[in-house]
Amino acid sequence: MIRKGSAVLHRFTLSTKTRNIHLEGCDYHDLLKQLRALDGIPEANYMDFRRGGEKVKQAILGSIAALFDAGTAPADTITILGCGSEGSFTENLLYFNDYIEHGRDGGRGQLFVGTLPTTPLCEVAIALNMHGPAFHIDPGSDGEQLGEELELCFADPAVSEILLLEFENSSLRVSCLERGEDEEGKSCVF
Amino acid sequence: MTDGRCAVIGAELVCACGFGKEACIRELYAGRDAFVPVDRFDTERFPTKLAGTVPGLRAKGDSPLCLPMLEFLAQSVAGLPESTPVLIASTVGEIDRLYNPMRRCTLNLLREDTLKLFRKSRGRIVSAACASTNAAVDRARRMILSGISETVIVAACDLVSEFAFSGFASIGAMSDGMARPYDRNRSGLLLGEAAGILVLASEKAAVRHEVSAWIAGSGMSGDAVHITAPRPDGAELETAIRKALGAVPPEEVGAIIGHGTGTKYNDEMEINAIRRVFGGSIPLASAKGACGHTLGASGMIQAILALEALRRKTLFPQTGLITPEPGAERMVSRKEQNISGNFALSLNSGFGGLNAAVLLEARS
Repeated sequence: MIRKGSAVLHRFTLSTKTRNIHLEGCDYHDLLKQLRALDGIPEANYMDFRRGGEKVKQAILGSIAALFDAGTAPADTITILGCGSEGSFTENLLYFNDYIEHGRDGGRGQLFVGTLPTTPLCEVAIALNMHGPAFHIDPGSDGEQLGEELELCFADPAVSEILLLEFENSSLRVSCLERGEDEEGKSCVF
Repeated sequence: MTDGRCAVIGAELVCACGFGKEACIRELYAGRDAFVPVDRFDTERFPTKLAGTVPGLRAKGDSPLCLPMLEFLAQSVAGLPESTPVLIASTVGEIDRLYNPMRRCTLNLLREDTLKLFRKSRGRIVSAACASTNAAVDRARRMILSGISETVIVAACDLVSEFAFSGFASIGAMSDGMARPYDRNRSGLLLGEAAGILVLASEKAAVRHEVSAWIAGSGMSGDAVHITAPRPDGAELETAIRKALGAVPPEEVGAIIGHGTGTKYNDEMEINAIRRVFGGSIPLASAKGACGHTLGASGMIQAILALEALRRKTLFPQTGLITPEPGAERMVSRKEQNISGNFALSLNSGFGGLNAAVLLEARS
């Protein structure tokens, strides 16, 4: 498979590999504003990031940038795959600590909906109006299982691209992958 | 005709009805529910005290609450090679260990404990909100059809926790009465917990085993409309259903084990999706009226009930039903329903609009 395009987010900096874009913002909203100013950015329902937390904001920004970097339009044939061992641990603590701090007298729904590892993936799907499968895997430290899962996705002829979101240590890498080998006959390695 | 199938050669379950799939089958076919007042945490501030907790489930010391369930399930996979991959379906995993000293994700902890207890060397979490089990079955089926593995274990586990209880209460999804899936006067869901396994095998490998049924198809889709509410017309669940059906005509499907949470929006969407594909008269039932909403493990209970429905040629009665939702009058019943056709469909839908359908075929 080929990595058509990718974006890396670390705090308020965003860079893409193919088009060599580098953006720095004072916050995620500023970053989004700069990204939207670029010519050819995919149509999306940005809605000011909806109600999302940091991971959701990163996921939406990273996905838009990765698709732009790949020259790929949002489509229902794109599978959204999240991968990582962090899951939604930070968001789970955020919700439950808040619930406890408020005397266990009602949790905050806004925080609860962010407690699933698939929340950022679904917010990307909503923002970009993509109706393909979306799911999260945690293969532990076994990188081969991610490669296996990507191959399984591409074994389905209905899948055109995979948007792979890898969260790690407050950073996010989003890759837009397609079938095939690069000019040197190599597949990208995960 | 299907576009590739794999065999179910093993199945086991722990749920509110007890340890062992027979308990669940017995109670659901008798039309009884398994809800009890929760004694694990204070429920005073919540709309209900009831949940489908596993009878007798207690954590041993500081160990996670899911361990006794996984230990029970481990017996069913003990004979499989260590290299057999395990796909573990869950929404939040060992959420009772949220404050674990390693500060690690509770899904990650569930993965490690499952592999350790099952004595298997390889496996991954597959999480797709409350559609996790059906998503994991979809991935396992594709692993087998692509030749990656001859046999795959699908495991599922989610717990009744203060975390989930307070969370579902916060978004107004919980019932203050009983769970009444597909009922006109349903008022929300009751939570439950479950763990289970399915062992899937290629047609070639299945020759050496007793086959309970076949996984004949599967499909996933996304609503992409709202982070908690489904698309009301059910059009995207319809997409997942049609993917799962492949070339199988809808009239060959004898029964649907639905997601049926008992919330207004889920059930309405699901009925709409089913009507779009099957018209308005296919037998439909949800396990959540008896066992509660077991989150990512929901599809596991459903798969086991689908196996039983295909074996008996009857669908279990809808626990909690009083007056069917308009449009579902000829689908749901308080009585056991006879089914025709060799296929049964299991449906899951989750937060974020994730949909997953699994088509099961009776053994010939």
